[in-house]
Amino acid sequence: MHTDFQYIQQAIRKTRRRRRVFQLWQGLWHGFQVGAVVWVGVLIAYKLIPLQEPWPWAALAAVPLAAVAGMVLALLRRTSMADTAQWLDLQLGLKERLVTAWELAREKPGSPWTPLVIARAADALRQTRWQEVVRFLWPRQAYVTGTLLVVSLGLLWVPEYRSQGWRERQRQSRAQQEAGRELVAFARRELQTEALSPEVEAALREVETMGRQLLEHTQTPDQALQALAELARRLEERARSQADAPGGTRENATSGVDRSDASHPAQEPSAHARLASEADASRMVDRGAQARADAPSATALTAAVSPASAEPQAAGRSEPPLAMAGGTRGSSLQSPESPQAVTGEALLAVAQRLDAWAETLGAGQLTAAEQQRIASKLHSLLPLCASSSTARENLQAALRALQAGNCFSAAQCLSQAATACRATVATQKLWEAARRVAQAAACMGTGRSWMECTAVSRGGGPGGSGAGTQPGGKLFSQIQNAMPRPGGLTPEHVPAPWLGEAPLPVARSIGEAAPAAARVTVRAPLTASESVEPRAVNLERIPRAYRHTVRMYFDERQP
Amino acid sequence: MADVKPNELEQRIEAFHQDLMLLRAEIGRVLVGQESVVEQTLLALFAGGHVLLEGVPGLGKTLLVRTLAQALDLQFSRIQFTPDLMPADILGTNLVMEGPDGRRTFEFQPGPIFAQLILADEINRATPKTQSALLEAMQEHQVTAAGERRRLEEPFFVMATQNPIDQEGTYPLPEAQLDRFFFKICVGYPTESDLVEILERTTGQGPEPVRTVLDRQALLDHMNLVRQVPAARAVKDYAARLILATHPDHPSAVPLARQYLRFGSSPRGAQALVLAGKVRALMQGRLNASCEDLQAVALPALRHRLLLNFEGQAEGITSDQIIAQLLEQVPRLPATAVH
Repeated sequence: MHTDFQYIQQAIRKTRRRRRVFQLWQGLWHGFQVGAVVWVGVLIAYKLIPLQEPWPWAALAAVPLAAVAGMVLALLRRTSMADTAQWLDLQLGLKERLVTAWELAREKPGSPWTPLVIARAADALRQTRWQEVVRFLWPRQAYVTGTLLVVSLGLLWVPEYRSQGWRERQRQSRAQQEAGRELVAFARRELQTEALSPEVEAALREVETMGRQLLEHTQTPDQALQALAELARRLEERARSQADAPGGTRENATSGVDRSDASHPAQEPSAHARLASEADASRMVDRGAQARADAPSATALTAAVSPASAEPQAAGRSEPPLAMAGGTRGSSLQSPESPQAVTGEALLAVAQRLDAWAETLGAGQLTAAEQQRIASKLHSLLPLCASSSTARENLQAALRALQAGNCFSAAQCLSQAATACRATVATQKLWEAARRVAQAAACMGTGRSWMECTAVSRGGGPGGSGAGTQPGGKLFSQIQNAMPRPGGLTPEHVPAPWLGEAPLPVARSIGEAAPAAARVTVRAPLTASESVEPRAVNLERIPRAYRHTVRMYFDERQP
Repeated sequence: MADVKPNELEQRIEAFHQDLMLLRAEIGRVLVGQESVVEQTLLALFAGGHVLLEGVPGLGKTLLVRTLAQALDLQFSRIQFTPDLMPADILGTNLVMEGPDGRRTFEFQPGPIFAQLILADEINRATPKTQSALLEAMQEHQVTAAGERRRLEEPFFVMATQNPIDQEGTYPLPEAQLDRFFFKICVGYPTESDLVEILERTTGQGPEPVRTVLDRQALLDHMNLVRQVPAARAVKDYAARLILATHPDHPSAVPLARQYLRFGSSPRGAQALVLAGKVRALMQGRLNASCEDLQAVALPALRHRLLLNFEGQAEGITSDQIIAQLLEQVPRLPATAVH
């Protein structure tokens, strides 16, 4: 009996061990199968629904994790010897002989039935090939997993379906984040500059706050666009008021510098060299010269597209551009890489020097030779002050006063010129901030990248009615030729900041372009289309950035 | 039992097999075919259970019981159930008897129930009141008459027959009565060869009388032996799972039971399964009951314990169909033993 029971026990134990290993193997494939199902499911969902990018990767990572989990679960699932005996009975067709023998041996060892049952069970077991019951075959889950992985590989080649609206939202969201990041970076960089006027600092803080809001998506796109437009307009108005203020400068700094560059390209290095004796000033001026040398194309482009600035160049005069002289809608703005940014620093250095000379002249007791030397230096500064006509005029007045020997009057003129230079710098910064904000609005509205919008703003600037964007301007003409619109439909006026190179709003009647003669104003086809169909303007075709503007425009022109 | 040695036990098992063989041979000499009916009847006999034989007239139900009674050295009694049969006709009654001294006393006259093998022929023709007279006798092997309890002599078997057709004037057995039958055996038509053999035997000379091959004490020993056959816990678990799966409200109920049963089997069903499984194992030369044995005896042990609902009766569903689904769907291995 003892030997028989040992034989049964050994068979059950070995079978149990093999089953355990097989369960691990099966658990591994079971986990693989679950992971593969999840992976394929998520992949299919990703192909159909705009899930976040990490989802498929997370599902892919879940495949090995699920396999390990399956093994662990299989490891935790322990089977007792009695269960194994019963399983073996079923597999070998022993009709519960083994499990009965096992139980009797454990629970009723003294029963007269026990040795008989054990002996019969052992005999029956010996007649079977119990060692071959547990076979390590590929489980069914392995085939299913393989099939699923092949399916998933095939799915990788299937393009994702994404709706146009979703793509636009994504692009806009990315553009908003990028714009916000750029605005924050710009504001922080500018805030590090010394000697900022409180107004400029406040403006930069506003820009930084706006950038943060864009980054954190605290507003809806429409709200953000409106806020950006609002901020751009505010900054532009501040810049304009700064330019129009007494003691300030009214003219376009870009135009001034460009004009100077265009008319006296050879004089610039010599002018800078004349300030070489003054360490601070020369450093500033040299940086300005370097920047101008690095960005000739931007300067040239600005000059080229701005009819207002081109006019004084052709005339060779130092009068301010017409657009600015009128004090009307925004002066054109400069890109950060254009000379104005550096010229601002150079202008500050010039203002510092002018203050020093004004103090020297105000103290009097200068010899004629010394006055002559100052006069020659002042003469050399004239090109640098071209960005500020007030400073230029004051400098010329100071020169005249020096030639007349009136040192006190010359000192006063120099002091006013220095103030004008500083005001010009402040105006430039405000314009730059406004341009950045408008650029951010362009990014959000069109969904383009910051760099693309930078290229646009370099070309035309966001000034709306500024240089080149008014009817007759070169940029206006270029954009007008490029944009799709009904034949001959030309907008006569855009009463809001308008971003260059972006498509202009187009009035369309549903199904057919409004017929109109060439060079007609918007009003005629609009009136015609509205009489046919009140909702003739297809808002879906108008970039988001301009919808508000277009609506306002048409609201103003109700017959 | 602890005093019994293994070799003695082997001898007892051997004696059981010999007696069983003789009994089968003796019955087979009289009854042609119907092997499964004989097999199931013997299962119930050695398990000590009562049998309800159901079949159309002329299939040998009564003959089987009578042959069995002759082959066993048991007191046999036949009760023909009729609508006017009264309980006292079965149990017995007190009669006024006059003694030698002229005094009159009440004396109990035992009814036909006081035997060891009772043939209750056409049991469903008696009224429920009369049918119920058998309840106590069948379950507790005792009779209470005239306020006095009287033990019935062991072994005590009731073998009832009933006719499934010609239902007019019959009274279906109450559920409590049905549950007390160990097996309900359906007697079917004989095959062609069996029928020819029946003709051979019955239309010639009269058959030889049945010999007694098993005495009362041997039968009691065998009944005691089969109860000792070990059944593993797994087998009992399987029996419990089978029974629970017949309960329509139980989570493990099979679909047919859920839909067509009003009540499932009582615990007596599980007892019948395991006990009959033990007998079958021993009859087949095994020393342990198995799940296969339970499956083999499930039909006669459970079919009269499943009560169909109205929908089941209207759809013509039979208990046998539900039991077939039960055997098909209830797992033999517990969840812990499965891969």
